[in-house]
Amino acid sequence: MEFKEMKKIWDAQKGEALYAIDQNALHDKVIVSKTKSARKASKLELTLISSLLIASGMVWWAMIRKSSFELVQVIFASLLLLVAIAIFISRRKRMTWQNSFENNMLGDLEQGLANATYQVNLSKAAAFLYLTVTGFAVVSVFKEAEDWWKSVLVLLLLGFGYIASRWEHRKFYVGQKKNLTEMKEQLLRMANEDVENLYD
Amino acid sequence: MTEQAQTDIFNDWLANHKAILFKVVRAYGFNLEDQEDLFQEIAVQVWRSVSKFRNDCAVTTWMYRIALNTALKWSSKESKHQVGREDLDHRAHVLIEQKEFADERLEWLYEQIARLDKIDRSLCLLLLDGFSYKEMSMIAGISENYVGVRINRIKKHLSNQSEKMIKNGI
Repeated sequence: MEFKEMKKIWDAQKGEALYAIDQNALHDKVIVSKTKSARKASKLELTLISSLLIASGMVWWAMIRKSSFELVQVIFASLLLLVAIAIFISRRKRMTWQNSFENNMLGDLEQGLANATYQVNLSKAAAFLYLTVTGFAVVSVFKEAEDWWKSVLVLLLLGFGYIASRWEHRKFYVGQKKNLTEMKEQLLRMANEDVENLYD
Repeated sequence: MTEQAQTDIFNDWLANHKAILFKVVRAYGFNLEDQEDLFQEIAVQVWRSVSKFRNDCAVTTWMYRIALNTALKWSSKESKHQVGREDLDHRAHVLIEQKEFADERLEWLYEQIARLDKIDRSLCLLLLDGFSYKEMSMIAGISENYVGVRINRIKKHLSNQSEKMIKNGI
């Protein structure tokens, strides 16, 4: 069958009759979920920033109130503050680059890749935050816990939480970024390949 | 633009050009579950894109671009294409498949398109819908020359496949 014939078959299809759309279900599922998804990233950032600022503020306030500035606590509170600032800066950057991509497949893949990279970094920041809090909790538990098994239990729970967060990081964020990178590379290879050689 | 105006334009686009979305959904989703999922994802992206549309290309070109980009990204997610994720009978569906328009040759053509590389699949859909190399180049972000090369390969591949099919008496 020649391509012209395939084109005729294609043109003869009643594309609009492939499926019927349930308009009410579409409205419920798509429009509503769209609004949610658009705000999701922003909400996550704002939640992280405000939680970090509150946590850091509470530690500073406790130290100032007691006039006792332990090194561990100072480092902990400063780290929380630094992570909050870092997330705030990357949020500003994200808002700037969101609309700076070209209107084609390559541009959209680049945007998708930038979003995936951003999510990977946000996930890394969350892991860093988790480790910081864990470190602080471990120091406090070993200082104050009377029974050794309580300390071990806390350590096990925190360790399990960290493993779960790393699994989520690799499974969802890193995996998607890898797939998008491969697709972008494929498109770039196509764009840069020597056209003359391809006719051989 | 108000949300109501955006929704009105979206509904208008959907009413007039839904065939584009259906073709993309069918070429990238291999079962009804995936097609449903992809359609919802594309619909969301088309809705979002309404406010960005500047009339510098035809609505069909714009919708094809959004649909193909979304399909490419959607198919890169590992969680997709898993048959039996959720029982179809227990979900409210946006899409209802219309069986009565089945044409065996068209079914075969869709099957062949689905077997192409993800990016060639996009080019093939655009080619079959009559887009010029220049338009395809703009949509894909690759050179016009290269579009020509890929299209030649796709045409040759499809012709070979059809010869095989005829030889096998299918």
